[in-house]
Amino acid sequence: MAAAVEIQGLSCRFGGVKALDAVDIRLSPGEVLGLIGPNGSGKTSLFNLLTGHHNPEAGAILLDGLDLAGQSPSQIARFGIARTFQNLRLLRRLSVYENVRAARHACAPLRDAFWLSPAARRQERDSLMNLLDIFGLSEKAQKTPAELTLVQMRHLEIARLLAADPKLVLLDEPAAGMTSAETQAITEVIATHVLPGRSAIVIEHKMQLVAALCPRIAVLNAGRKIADGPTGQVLADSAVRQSYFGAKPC
Amino acid sequence: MDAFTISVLSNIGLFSFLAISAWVLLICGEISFGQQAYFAIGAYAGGIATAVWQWPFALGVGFGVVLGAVIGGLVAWPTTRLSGMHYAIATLAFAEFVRSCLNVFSYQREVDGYLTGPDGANGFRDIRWAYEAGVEPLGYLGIIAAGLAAVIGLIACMARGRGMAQLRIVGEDPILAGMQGLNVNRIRIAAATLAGGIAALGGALYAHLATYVEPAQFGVMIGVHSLAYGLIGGLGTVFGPILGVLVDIGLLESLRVFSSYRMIVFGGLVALVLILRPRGILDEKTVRRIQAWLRR
Amino acid sequence: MLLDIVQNTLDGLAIGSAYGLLAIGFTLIFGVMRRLNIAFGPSIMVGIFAGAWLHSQWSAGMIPVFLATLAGAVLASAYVERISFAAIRGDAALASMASSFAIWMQLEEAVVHVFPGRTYAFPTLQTIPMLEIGPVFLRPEYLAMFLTAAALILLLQWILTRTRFGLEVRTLADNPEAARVSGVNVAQVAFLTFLLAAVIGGVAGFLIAATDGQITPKIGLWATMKGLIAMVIGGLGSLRGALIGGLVLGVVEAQAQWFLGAAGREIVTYTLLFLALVMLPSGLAGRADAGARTEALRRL
Ligand SMILES: Nc1ncnc2c1ncn2[C@@H]1O[C@H](COP(=O)(O)OP(=O)(O)O)[C@@H](O)[C@H]1O
Ligand SMILES: [Mg+2]
Repeated sequence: MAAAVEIQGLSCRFGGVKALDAVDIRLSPGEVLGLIGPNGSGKTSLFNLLTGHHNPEAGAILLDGLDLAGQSPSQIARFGIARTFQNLRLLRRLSVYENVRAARHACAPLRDAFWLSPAARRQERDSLMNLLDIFGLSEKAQKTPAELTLVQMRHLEIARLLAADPKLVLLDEPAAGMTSAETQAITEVIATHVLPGRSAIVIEHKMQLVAALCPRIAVLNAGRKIADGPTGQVLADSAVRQSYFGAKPC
Repeated sequence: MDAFTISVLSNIGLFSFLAISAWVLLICGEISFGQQAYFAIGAYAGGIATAVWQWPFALGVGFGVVLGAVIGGLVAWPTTRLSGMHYAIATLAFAEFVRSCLNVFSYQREVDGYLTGPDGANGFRDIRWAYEAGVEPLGYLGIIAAGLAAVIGLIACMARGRGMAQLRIVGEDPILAGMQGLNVNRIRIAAATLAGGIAALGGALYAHLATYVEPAQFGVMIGVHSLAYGLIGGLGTVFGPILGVLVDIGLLESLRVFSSYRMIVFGGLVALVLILRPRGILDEKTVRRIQAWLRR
Repeated sequence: MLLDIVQNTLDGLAIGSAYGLLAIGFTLIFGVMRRLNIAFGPSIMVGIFAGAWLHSQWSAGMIPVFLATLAGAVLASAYVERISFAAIRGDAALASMASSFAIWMQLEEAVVHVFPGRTYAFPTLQTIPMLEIGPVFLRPEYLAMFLTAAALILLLQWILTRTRFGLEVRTLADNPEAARVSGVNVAQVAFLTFLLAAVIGGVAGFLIAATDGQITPKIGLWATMKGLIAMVIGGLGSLRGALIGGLVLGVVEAQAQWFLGAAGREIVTYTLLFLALVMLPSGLAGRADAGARTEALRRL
């Protein structure tokens, strides 16, 4: 089920800011890539391009050989790309359960809008409650996201992403704002439930998580890819240390 | 039941169609000032079908509903791309367009020796199905109640299926909805179709109760009212807009002591409710709490 | 024919400048609050009736009537702001809109209560003779309308670009977050903006009432509709757009009224409005909807 990704010469610009500048990244099926770089280096923008939220100025994105150019975000989601958001994007007025269920409406036939058989409802309920259970959220299923802690909200986003059963997952700073112990916990959840059988790109500043999950990392700086390779090797690279750790990460 | 109660209840029922229609769009994140257009379309189409073409009542009402739904979908097709305010004004423009077209729309045929049919600004008289079929006001109230029950039933089905959830997700965060694979435009067009059909059903029933309709009855004020009903009653459930109608028509008709200060009391009450509960009386949170309580 | 068109354009520009003022009032409020105050027209209506009352009671002259109109509009607007906007905090644009509708109902009923008749007289400027410029005529009250509107817009321009308050209004409209961080007293600026909008709307209402010579409570709905439509035609969030939108609306209405009559005017106006919205979603001034902009700025 894992997808191969090929990003070729991808560029994107916001006004005068060149957010991405001719970035090439290849991902073979099942590969997990860590994406690091200072703030404002274009990591989130890369995700926004991958999910079709922005249009690239130049370059191409291929998912299993299929060109994503000109596809709408909803089509891209249905091709099997799902993501989380750096600034959490939850449905505030819907319950936690409905937030996870949001990922299940996409490919449903029109009839489902008006009628779901009790068996289908029960099946969906069971599978989603199982999912919430993994993240320790089944107790909170009928609460609103506002009643969750920040850590639980990040878990909820990952649960929603899993509910879509994607081929490529994009995690945008999944451990932002977490303590070391919480980071450890989410690292384990991601390793056991999210990554198996999927390709993934993980943006993260916490090396603890990156080192544990990503055998390979790429480094962006001011929109350019300045390094790409096995994690240990890249982190030892002096240019990377200069750009990344020279500028204080936050 | 005395005639007064019956007429108040009938009015509550008829306004509920309009209020639910505006509510469906609110759920979907769109403000429509123009649902009265579909009410008018339903009234005129249903009336023409039964009075001029002499169709059976059910068929005539069905014709009105289908026409309202189709036009609702067609209007939504170019307008859903528009953002908030623009959509609101576009719906207003369309409704006023419909009203001003009805002002010059004449279509009269001889039926039983009388000229029957809409006659521009003079209105459309003698939509006499209920009279000819011998349906009493109480019986007609039953018909209205059945229509309303059908609409509530449809929405309950959508709440059990995926429909309501899809509308709410699109309404809450269209960008996120897109990234969850939902086709936002298609869902909005579907919502507008549904809303058009519901309003048209109310209109067709209204025309046969009133027996007389005229373009001036379908002004902006009605549209703004029906929008306000959902916002007052609450966006959490389909009973919200109905509650809004009840508060306006029901409560104030019965509280006749206020007679001439009616709108001052009503306005103050609504403003107070909205300060305490910005999403209306039956907001999402309250509804969830009630559901949890019922489940126990 | 050509002459008619010129004459209609002149008349339309005059009425359109009043529409433009109404639209500017809406735009100021919408820009600063990101919420729609549909009770704007009815607040102006209160002012107009206050003026008419002064006129009928003491047959007051133009200037007291004018001041009473402004005072009425400002008071009613302050009431709307307190109840429907200041009291409803947080992300509740819909609630504010519904609440302003409720207050609209109150204002209208209150006015109907005090003025139970259908129409009332308002003092007019018709004492000044009709101006003739070659073959076209210019009604003096139209000229006054146009000139007053122009002066007011220049004054507003000065306030917005040269005063501290104006700077705060513009920061708030551009980027509420930045305004908050840089220490703008949001609640106070919002309140003052409301009052400023009420003054502008009051002037527009006065000009319109003084041209027509008679008023009904329906003028509240009318002013809200015209102002909203002109604002949206011009493109939300731009004062220049609001003015252009008002002028365009005025000219289109005047031409359609002349060539097609009242029923035709309505059909043409609303058809054009609908088409303009669909084909020029960013308005005549070419600026996108402020709401859409904030949505886009809400970063992923
Ligand atoms: N929607 C947008 N509009 C304007 N500029 C943007 C937008 N999104 C990102 N940028 C700019 O692009 C650059 C890259 O941002 P981003 O991709 O968010 O960086 P990162 O995620 O690596 O911290 C920044 O300079 C940012 O200001
Ligand atoms: Mg980022």
